[in-house]
Amino acid sequence: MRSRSLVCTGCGCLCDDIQVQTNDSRPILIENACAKGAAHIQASFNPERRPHCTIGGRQCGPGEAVAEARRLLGNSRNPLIFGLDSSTLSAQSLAIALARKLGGSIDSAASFSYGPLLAAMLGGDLPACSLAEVKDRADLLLYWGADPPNTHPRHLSLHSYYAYSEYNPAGWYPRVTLVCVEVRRTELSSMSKPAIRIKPGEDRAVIEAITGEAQSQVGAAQGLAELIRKSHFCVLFCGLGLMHSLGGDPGPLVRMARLFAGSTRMAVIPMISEVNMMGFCRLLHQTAGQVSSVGFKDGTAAGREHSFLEQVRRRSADCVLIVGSDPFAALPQSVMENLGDAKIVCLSPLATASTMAADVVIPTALPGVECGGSVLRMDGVEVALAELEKGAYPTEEAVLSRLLEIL
Amino acid sequence: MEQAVHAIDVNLVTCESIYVSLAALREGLGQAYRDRAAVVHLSPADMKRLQIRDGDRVELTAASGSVVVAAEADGDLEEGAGRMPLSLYSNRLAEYRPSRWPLPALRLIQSTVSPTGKGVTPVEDLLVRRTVA
Amino acid sequence: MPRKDLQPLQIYRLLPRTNCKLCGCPTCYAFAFNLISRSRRVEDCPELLKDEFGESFRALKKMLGEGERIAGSDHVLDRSRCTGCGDCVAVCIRALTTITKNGRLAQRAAVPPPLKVMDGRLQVVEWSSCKRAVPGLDICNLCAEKCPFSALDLVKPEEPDQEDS
Ligand code: SF4
Ligand code: SF4
Ligand code: SF4
Ligand code: SF4
Repeated sequence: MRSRSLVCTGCGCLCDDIQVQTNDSRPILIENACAKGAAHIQASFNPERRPHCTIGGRQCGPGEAVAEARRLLGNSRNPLIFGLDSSTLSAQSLAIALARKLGGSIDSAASFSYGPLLAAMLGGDLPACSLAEVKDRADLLLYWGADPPNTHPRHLSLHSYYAYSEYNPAGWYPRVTLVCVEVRRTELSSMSKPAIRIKPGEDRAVIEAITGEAQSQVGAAQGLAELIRKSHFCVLFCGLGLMHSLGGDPGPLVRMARLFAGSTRMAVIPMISEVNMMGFCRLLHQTAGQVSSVGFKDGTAAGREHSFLEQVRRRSADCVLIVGSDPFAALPQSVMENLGDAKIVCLSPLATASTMAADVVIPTALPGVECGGSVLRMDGVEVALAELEKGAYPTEEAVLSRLLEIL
Repeated sequence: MEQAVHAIDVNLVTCESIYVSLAALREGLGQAYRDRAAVVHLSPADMKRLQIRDGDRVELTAASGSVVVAAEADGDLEEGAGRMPLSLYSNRLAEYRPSRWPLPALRLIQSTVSPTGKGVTPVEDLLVRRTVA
Repeated sequence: MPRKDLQPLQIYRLLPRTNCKLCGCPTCYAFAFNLISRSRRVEDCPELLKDEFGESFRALKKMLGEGERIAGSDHVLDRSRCTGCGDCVAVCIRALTTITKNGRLAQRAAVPPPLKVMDGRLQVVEWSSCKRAVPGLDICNLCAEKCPFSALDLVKPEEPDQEDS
């Protein structure tokens, strides 16, 4: 029996206090990880949750599958690489190099979630802060369109509200105000004071009422503006609920942050669920000046026409390489059906809706359990992953560099 | 007794549910996933209008598809509002029309609800099947 | 949020009240106490499983929830609801050493934390540290109060056993 410390890659929290005891290379006790984290670690040891290495549904060896992937990508006129937001930084760099070599495009789920927000943050339009600072300094935690108990189970207990370093003398009340803005009752709203309830789709109107851009008054806006103004350091945790309601546009948030800049320190932390969406956006930004949807056909270009969604909708991609992502579960089936007879190659540690739809499936090692590497957490802090047990599967890095070599 | 209404329009809000994620992580897209994901919460008033009770099946129909799920009352919801976990079920209803909205409308879905005798849609029917060469 | 305090009489009214002893308790009233402390389950009364008591059975299930007593503690956990979020663990660590003594705040010597999340679920690992385990300390129920999923409940310590009476 041996005991190991691990960083959990079950969600964007990347909890670094996990202890796993293994016996005969199998985990027998997982300490501190939430149910999601424990299930994530256990899944990698459950053969039924791992995909088979296949070509057209027929089982084969990884060498053969990689050769077939090479053939499909090499014959493609419009290759598209998608995913990578759960991959290590080194796998991401290799994928970017591969896209460049293929003259194809590359995109991640950021293009239909946090991409524009991250671009605004990287461009300096929205201030950021680290989770460590949150625990020590923030006095207003504002969760907007986010419900961490359901998406990031330990976000409050490890990184924010309950992890506060200063408590009041009577026991446990942290010296901080927890506020949430939501369209419905959630597990988080039941602990927030106040919990601000807005109508679905009303988010933009509320922000514009705060910044004074809108004529009409929205009930929730005044109280919220008052709370922010009174605080010294407000951290805005942006959830997918908010991003979708704004149609991805961070503009209203940028204007709101500017408005309070004189009186309150306001910082934004996106509630990213993927372990390394932040890293991929930053890498692409360094390489191509854009956080997502980059094409390398004639030089380097970026824009909507290079996005996964648009290329699928317009049926322009003829070969898609999915790396560690599950777009077949995350996007409407009505969109994914447009992939028609495009070839799909899927690298994935776990069996998913996407591995079930792919022409070539190459199972890979689960980062943070079967291999190490580096990732950037939701607050931009670099986290080094540990390896628990080397499994039977090649890493994404190994498969991607093999493809780079032989193409 | 009031006349039962055959179908009503609702605005569905979808949201992540930890229990759906856990089911998928532990057992993949199987029975447990279906039990947790194939649910719609409606207002007690709408349940009454449709004359249905907790656990009764309803068919949800939206622009891009339809699914059969179990209905459950939720006193927190207003008339005409619904709530559903984000899953393959809700995604079957969601559409992507960039001329209307720049993102896929995964989180706010207009749908009709009508009681049905059909069984809950099996997960397999929600997977995109492709002609694998 | 914990369930509302359950009253034995309220539970007793829903029982068959025949004192048949099949559940292993001398009386239905004793069984009611055992249900509240979750040391017995509703299913342990064979009478309640009969059709005629179907309504009482469902009502009792609803009142008592799916929680099961974590052995050797006051904690009752609904294992299917607990997400291992650790909120209970975090509040407990903060509250553990603050006590009231003669109406004033006082400190208690440091003790190892009673709660821990293991294999994705809450466990009581050091019951003797819990304020409820120490006679004379405040009756604490913070951990259950702060559970976002209503997965945790605390029950009163075992009633004196009436089985031999
Ligand atoms: S909160 Fe996320 S990172 Fe932390 S243990 Fe749970 S799944 Fe893992
Ligand atoms: S078995 Fe049921 S009826 Fe009989 S004594 Fe126990 S509680 Fe009462
Ligand atoms: S009992 Fe509740 S608060 Fe504690 S870990 Fe489980 S879900 Fe979280
Ligand atoms: S009752 Fe109080 S002291 Fe005991 S475990 Fe819960 S929070 Fe900690």
